[in-house]
Amino acid sequence: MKKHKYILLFIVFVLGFLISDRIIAQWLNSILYSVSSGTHAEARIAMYEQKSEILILGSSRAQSHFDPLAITKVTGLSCYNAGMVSQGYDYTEIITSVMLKRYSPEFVVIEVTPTFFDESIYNIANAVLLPFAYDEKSILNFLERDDKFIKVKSTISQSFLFNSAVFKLMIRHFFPKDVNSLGFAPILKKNLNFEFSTKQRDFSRMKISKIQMEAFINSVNMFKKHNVKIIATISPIYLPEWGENDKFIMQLKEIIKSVGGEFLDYSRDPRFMRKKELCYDDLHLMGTAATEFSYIFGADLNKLSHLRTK
Amino acid sequence: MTFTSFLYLPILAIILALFYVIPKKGKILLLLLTSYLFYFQLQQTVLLLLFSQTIIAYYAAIKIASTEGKRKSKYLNFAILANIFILALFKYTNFLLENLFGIFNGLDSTNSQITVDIILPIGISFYTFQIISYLLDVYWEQVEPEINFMRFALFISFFPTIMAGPIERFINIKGQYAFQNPFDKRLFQRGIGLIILGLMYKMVVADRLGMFVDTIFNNYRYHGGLTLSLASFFYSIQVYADFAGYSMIAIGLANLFGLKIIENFNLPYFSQSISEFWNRWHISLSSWLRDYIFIPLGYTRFGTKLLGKYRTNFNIIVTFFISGIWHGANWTFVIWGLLHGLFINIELFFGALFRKNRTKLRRSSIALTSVKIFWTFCVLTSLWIIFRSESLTQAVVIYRKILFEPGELFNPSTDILLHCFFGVLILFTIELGRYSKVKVVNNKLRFLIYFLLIFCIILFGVLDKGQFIYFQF
Repeated sequence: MKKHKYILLFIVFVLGFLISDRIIAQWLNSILYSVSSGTHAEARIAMYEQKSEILILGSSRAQSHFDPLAITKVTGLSCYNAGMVSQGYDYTEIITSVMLKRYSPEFVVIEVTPTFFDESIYNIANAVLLPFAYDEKSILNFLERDDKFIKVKSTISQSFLFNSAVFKLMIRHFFPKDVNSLGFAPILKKNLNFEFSTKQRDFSRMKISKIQMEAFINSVNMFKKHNVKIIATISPIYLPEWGENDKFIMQLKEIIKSVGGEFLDYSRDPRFMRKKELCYDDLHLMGTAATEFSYIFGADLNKLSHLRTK
Repeated sequence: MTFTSFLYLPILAIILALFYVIPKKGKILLLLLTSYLFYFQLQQTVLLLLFSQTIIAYYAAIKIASTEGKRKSKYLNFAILANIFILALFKYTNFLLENLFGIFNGLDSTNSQITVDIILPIGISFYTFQIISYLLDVYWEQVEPEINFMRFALFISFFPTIMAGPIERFINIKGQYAFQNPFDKRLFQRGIGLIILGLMYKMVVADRLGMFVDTIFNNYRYHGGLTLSLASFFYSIQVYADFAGYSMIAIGLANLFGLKIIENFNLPYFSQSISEFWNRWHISLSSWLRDYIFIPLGYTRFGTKLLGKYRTNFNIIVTFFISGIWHGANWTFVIWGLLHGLFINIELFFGALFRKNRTKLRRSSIALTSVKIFWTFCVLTSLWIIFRSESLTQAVVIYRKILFEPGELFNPSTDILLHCFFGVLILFTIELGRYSKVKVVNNKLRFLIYFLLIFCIILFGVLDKGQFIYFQF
């Protein structure tokens, strides 16, 4: 009798868990597709909704440096900024793979700050993209690189896919913000008395992240396959940590050249370099400087007439 | 792989199933093999060291018990010194070198470059203290030496406790290794409950707070006093949730194998004084320090003439100096320990003063109790700043900013702060329930609570996140 009782209790627990888990996951998934602002909304729009002619990709530097409205004004092409704070090229790769199933932009601009290839920089693509695996199972194939048990976990619990995303979704769901920034997130707050670095780093000692490098190469190859013109940029920075002819920069240039893309390096642009008043910290420009840069970038894009079809 | 790793759960289930299937004689061997394999996968190179310390202690205890007089003391001294030497070698070599180098270079330790590349074996401070207590207990004839080597080796290396305690006493565990009553339903249920609660403390509270705390403390120069105060408050909660969570999991795991081990925490942040805090915080260490350092110091006549009636105060300082240095090879830990000793001495002084005027004082009311708890928590939080800082300079800068440069409150993002406050709220609710002695008698309700806690871990926990804070000690 006792044994039966335990088995019954176990079955009740498992069934109760599975049912509750599926209900919670379904509910959170519906919120994921209803929020109109925040990181999840931005990722969703980038993957499933926007159809711009110029697409910006990269991390926080991309997101806060490229003003789509300014770029459109200068180029006449529609633009969307799909850059994402705290994300690396693994995020770019996933966004690219999902988006290209639906449409292909004319240009893709990938911000390639060398610092972000450093192995010690911790990027967590699943922090933003894991919930999308509820409907788009292919995302798990990419996320498996960071967590080999991710498929097992998501099979056991579907609400696991929404781990760490609940509060983000709830805030945006219950307190919606009406934003139409086209993904651009300019830095408007004031500088944190940042002590700007004055030294250059020995980049030859930098350990390049295999995952980030592989994801970057995969992304550009996917674009090439879909005939999307690739422009890799290093947007302005307070002081580049790398030398002008650094081996790693050369390697990046080679990769871009191999897919027929262009490489635009603004890291030593005297209009921005060492200008504390234009920078928020070592890596990021203030919002006004970002818009100013976007006009410059748009103008340079116009000069690449051999790439343009319109 | 640690307790919070995904793979840990199925492996534990297999070992648990095997444990209840095999005959009694095999249980010790199974647990010992599991413990050694567990330790090996954590740090391959130092398993031999653990084994060597176990052998030394095993034979020394037998010799101590079988001899008398000076030889008995010699065996004890040899075994204890050997263990302390190993601990010092692995844990304090670089600290000593840095400081010696600093003294010879005009006390400017920042110029010191001499360091030796030594691995710090996980849990060495914990199991070394466990060995020392065993040797002393045998010497004082409070416990018979263990003849069965496997049982003794298991006592030292038991996988739930080897990494960060609790520091178990052999006298508590010896009788349980017979596994006379292998399945205790209540103990098993308690074990599961403790594991779930421990995981919640660790993953939902400690690791969430850790994200904010690390960001602020690692960039303390860029933040103002308000942000640093919030980070310090969160660190107080983090360090407790992390270590108490670990202890709950360790005790819960032991319970699953039918073993009852020492409790390590008893609502420490509800303490009304620093002395009370040390009766509630890391109980296995504080009771160890009391029994093997503080009380023996009281028996010796050392310094009686010099210190007179202040000998107890001095012994408290010595005990807390050892507590500080045990936590880590850094002056921050030493100062942290000494300040705790100092606060206890201050409390003793005022306690004596108040006792003289006892009649004038009213019995403690809820308001007074709350004030005392709040004050103690504030003192503890301010001392945790030194504990968390990487150097004394960092601690001083943080104190200065908290006192004189409030600045603006840094908000990385609303959801990060929400996660932090959510964790604090859950922890406070649970702890307050325990403080008010609320007991969930109804099994269905308890089942429902565990169910909710599991979803809480899945949705809000930091999954597969690194190590527990106390592993480094």
